[in-house]
Amino acid sequence: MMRYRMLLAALLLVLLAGCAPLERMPDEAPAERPTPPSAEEPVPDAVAGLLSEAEAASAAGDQERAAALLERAIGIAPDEAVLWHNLAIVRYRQGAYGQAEQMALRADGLAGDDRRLRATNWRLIAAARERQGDDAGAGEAEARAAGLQSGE
Amino acid sequence: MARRRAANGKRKPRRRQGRWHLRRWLLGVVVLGVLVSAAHVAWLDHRVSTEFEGKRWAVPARVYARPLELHVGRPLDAQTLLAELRAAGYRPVERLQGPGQYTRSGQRFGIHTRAFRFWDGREPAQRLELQLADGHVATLHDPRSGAGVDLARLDPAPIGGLYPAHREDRILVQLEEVPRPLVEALLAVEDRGFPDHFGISPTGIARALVANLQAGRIVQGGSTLTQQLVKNFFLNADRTLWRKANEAVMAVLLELRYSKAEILEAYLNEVYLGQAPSRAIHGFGLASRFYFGEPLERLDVAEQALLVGMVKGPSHYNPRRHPERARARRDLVLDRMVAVGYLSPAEARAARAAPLGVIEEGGGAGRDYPAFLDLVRRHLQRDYRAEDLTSEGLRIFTTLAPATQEQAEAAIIRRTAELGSDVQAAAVVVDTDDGEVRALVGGREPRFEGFNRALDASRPVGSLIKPAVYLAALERSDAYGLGTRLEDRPVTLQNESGQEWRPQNYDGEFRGDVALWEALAHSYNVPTVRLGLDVGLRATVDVMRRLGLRVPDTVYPSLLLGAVEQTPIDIARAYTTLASGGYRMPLRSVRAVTTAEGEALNRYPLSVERAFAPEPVFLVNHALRRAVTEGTARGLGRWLPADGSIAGKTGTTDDNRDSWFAGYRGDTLAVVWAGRDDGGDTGLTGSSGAMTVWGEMMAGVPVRRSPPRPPEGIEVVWIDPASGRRAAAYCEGAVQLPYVEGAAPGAAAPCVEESNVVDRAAGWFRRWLD
Repeated sequence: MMRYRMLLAALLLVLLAGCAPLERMPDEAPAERPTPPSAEEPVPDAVAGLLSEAEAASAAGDQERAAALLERAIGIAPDEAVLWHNLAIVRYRQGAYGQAEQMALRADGLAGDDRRLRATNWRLIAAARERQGDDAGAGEAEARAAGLQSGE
Repeated sequence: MARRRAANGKRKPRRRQGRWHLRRWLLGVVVLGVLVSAAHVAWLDHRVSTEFEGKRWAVPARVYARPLELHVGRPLDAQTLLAELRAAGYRPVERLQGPGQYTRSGQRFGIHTRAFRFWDGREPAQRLELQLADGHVATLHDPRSGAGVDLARLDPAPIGGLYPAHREDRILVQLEEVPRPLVEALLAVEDRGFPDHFGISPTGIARALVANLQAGRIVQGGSTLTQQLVKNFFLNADRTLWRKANEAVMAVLLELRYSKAEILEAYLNEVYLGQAPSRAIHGFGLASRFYFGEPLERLDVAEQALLVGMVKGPSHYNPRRHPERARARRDLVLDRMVAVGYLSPAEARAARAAPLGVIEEGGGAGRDYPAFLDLVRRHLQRDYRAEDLTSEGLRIFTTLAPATQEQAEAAIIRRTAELGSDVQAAAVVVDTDDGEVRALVGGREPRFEGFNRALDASRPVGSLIKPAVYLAALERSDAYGLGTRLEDRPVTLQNESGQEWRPQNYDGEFRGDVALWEALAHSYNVPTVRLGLDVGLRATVDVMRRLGLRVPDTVYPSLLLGAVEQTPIDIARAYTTLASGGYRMPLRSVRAVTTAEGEALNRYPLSVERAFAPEPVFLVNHALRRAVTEGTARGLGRWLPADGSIAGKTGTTDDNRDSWFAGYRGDTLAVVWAGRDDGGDTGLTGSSGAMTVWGEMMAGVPVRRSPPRPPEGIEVVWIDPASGRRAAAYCEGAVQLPYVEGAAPGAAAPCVEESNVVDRAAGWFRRWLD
């Protein structure tokens, strides 16, 4: 469980910070925060392996492979918000902003009370909406992200 | 070519007059002969190469099921695992000796997977040991190191090929898919010199000659595989010397033009292996189906040897008519395999002990999964030309779950047999998380190609439409909630031409008024029509469109009761949108396509689109769950526990023409239609027909069940059922219903207003004590 959380944190850093189109995102440094305890079911180790493979593929610029790995992981643990969130990031990197937004919306519905993930996720939605020319929607998403982050 | 050189070397003048004439004449004959021979050979060359190209160009796409993913926690029972192993061609053994085998002892399985190249990388062969418990994988590890295995996937079941229309009855195989023992046996028995000769084999002929002289009759042919292939191209029984000579020339020509592998592959697909009533059986692929009812790659060594033995004389060694002869021939082939060192004597002994394994004629004539392959073909037609699909040897990775497909087929076969001889049925099974089609059945004879009802039977949907009406209402959370009272009193509608319509409930009763959730769970018609008119046809049509349904050009109020035609797969798409919490997804049957060499061509990615806010969809699902626990689908309790994990809706059309059931449990959604092709009365309702198929099918499908998680904006409040107003826990008969946050009725029911503090306390005591 703990291992998975740390992996998530590391993944977000790599996926978000290392990505040019997402550089607008504030340096949230999620790893600095203590991870809130979660009552969720433990994620199968299987998914952790696919996650790190996807991370490597995405970092190496092979977004297609990263997407395939994440989809495979979703087939195994479809209720894991982090998988949908990461798939949203990969779609974003592929320039598929519409799907990036949709995947992130799905992640939001599954994230429960993981406010940190949800805040990051809404920021991603904001970026995806902006790329699609939906400035109003982007503003709304930014506001939600800010609200989640401030713990409102 | 050789002939041209010969023609040039024939110029010689002089000598005496008479002889000179003779020589000139002779020369003319020779030149003419040479020219004629050259023309003849050219003609033979043309014939043999056209024939060969014609056979060779079509390498059908190979289609695979989705691979079984194994990891701790995966829902899986022994029956399902066995079905998956069987479909992927795994064989039960006592001890694992190599890939493609499994052992079982109760709930403990040992599996030796095969190496496989997926579109996203290679999976090595590995040994696995897994323990099932309570319908899940409890442990998974490598038996040699004892280390846990996080994730493994089996090589996928091959589920068929995509063939050009005119060769539909042939099952072409590629050389690399043909089991090695079969090839070894074939060479050992029919043509030992094949790798080295040039089309004809002088030593083979000599050997045959000796054998024939010794026996005093023809016992050996001496024909090479290449010669036999040529003979098969131009099937003609006469054994004249002229024919033999032509065959030999053509064999040499074939060898000059094509590689050994190409010739061998053509041979494997061309060789004559028997006669069915309506067609000749050519090729090992079809023969394997015809005699064993299994694809070639699933045959064991004994079965392979039997097929090879039959090459010599398919009717003489016909295992159905002459089992003793066939057995002797098979054993001889096995001996030969030992002699060339391919088989150990022990293996041969074991194979000899095996029964012939031949099925009754006609038993395996059908194809696996024709309806699903039809769907795959249609999906791929958007991106590929038909020629490419049938000729390029593409590898197609689909979403089919063989065990689920087997369950669906079995349920349809068994239930339709009971429902009536003219009742047809179709089923679609979908994974609600990603929209992947897990199973598809197009009719009551699932193995036979024909009208694909799952995709093409467009039928009135009846009450299956109702969730769309209720969703349109519940999207207006300020006006409607699950507890809203709906009028259930007679209503008369009149159209422009003055025609009247008086909708009735199925049982003909009127209940005064009912709660909104009850009206949906019990499928009451009258309150639905009133609600639909209240919300507006336009809103219902809009919801239908967003669900992914097809919308008619003109709509009438009868639409509210399902007077609109949809196919089972349309319904599956719409209900998947509900089951996924409001995300519309294209239903996918293909994950990826690669070239024959494994290079990725296309991937069909997961795509979703939020079509509804999650809250109103959650409310509709709540009512659909109650349809199963206390409404029209109560009968499912016969097959599955009534634990609130299933949401479903029955549908029946006028005069019991169509019987529908759409429902989902955990991550699996299934839609079943039953009815007659001519639209006649079946006497079946949704619950007495389609639902029984659904129940029987889903009882055997392990699903990943996560408790329905209410979306963020849902709160549960106490409602007084009589008034539909807000109640409190202590109110007599109060029920809990989910509402969109802040949208629960503000006005309190009388019991809340009248009760004093003491009453409330008493109410609490009652709850604590019972």
